Amino acid sequence: MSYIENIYVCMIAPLLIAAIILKGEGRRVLVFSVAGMTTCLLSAYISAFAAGVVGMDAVTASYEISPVTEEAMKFAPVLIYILIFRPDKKHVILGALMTAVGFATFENACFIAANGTEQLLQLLIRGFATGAMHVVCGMIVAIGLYFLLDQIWIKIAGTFALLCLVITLHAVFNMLVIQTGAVFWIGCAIPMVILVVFLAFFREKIDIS
Amino acid sequence: MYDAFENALQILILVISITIALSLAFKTHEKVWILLSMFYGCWLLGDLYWQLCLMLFGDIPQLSLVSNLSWYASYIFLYILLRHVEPPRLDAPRRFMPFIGPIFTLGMAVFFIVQSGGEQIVSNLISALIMGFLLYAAIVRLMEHRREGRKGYLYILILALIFFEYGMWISTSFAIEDNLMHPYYWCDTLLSISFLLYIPVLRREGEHS
Repeated sequence: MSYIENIYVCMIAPLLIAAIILKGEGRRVLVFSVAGMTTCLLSAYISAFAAGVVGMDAVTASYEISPVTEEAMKFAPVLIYILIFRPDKKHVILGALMTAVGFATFENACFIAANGTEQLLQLLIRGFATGAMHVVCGMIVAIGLYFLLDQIWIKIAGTFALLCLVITLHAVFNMLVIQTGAVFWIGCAIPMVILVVFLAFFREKIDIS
Repeated sequence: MYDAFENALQILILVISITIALSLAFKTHEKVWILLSMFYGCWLLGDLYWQLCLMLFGDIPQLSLVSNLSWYASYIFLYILLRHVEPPRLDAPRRFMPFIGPIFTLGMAVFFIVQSGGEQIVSNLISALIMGFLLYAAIVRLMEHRREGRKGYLYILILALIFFEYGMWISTSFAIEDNLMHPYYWCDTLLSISFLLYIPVLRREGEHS
């Protein structure tokens, strides 16, 4: 059994110390990474609690409950940041992406602690499929917020819609990667395919400077 | 059997539609095609999630939350698309007629809640809210178009979508039979076919604007 709270404390400590030393963009990156790790920890608790309440097993909860809690929790720090600080769009993108990176990193650390480090293929899949999926979902929300939504009402409704979109995408992904054979590999390919489509569409990387 | 065939047909039509919409988005970089792709994408993801549950686990999802969220997102993107194609006019005269839309959707929500024995209150109210906004916006614009002697095909399509959706919901709230003559299959098939019409209609709108 691995104690994810202990892993959490161990992982955020150096980031928090560095955040105290740094200021500006560097501090923002670190704070959002820590926020991502914190939301990962909280969403694990919430998913387990919700699954218990509705009497659902862990496998079913992985595609019916976890995507909802994970994506909603991952968006919470960005929402708080938008509501309190009213940042510009580029900082919102940075926040959404770094929260997703923090979330994926912490989830990977917990996975490694629970499953060991012997299987390189398994860890590659973990990194480039499941880990990447969080970043891709964060990227979809961030780019959607940046490019599609302008007026305030559209922003509110559109943000909810973007969140719903990534929840379903995440749920379909989770459903596919718990299978075996070709279905599993199709699921694993989803984040990278989306990433390639996005890069082909925008033809340049996101500049947050 | 008909249900599986109908779902497969809808998924196929949506895949074709999203491919065309995405290729237009790549070519023109216009917001209208990105929003249309997101409308199709959300609907497709909701369908896929539902169908994958049936195929991989042999049953519908225990909670229909994920699929519902995806379809809500789809309606919202359609609403944003509608506002993008023709922003609301502040000087437009206020009439009673468009308010029939939200009154109808609210009335139907109450009917569905009563019919289901008090279950699914939140999901019915959210559907009523989104559909009400969509209906109101479509009726207002259609009336304006008619007043100016224009056709307003996009708004007719949106009204048709809502009509078919409510046709399906009403028919399934009484009884669902695996019979081709059941109104559910007719409404769903017509809804699927209507998806193909958005692209030519929006191209026409683009040429006229």
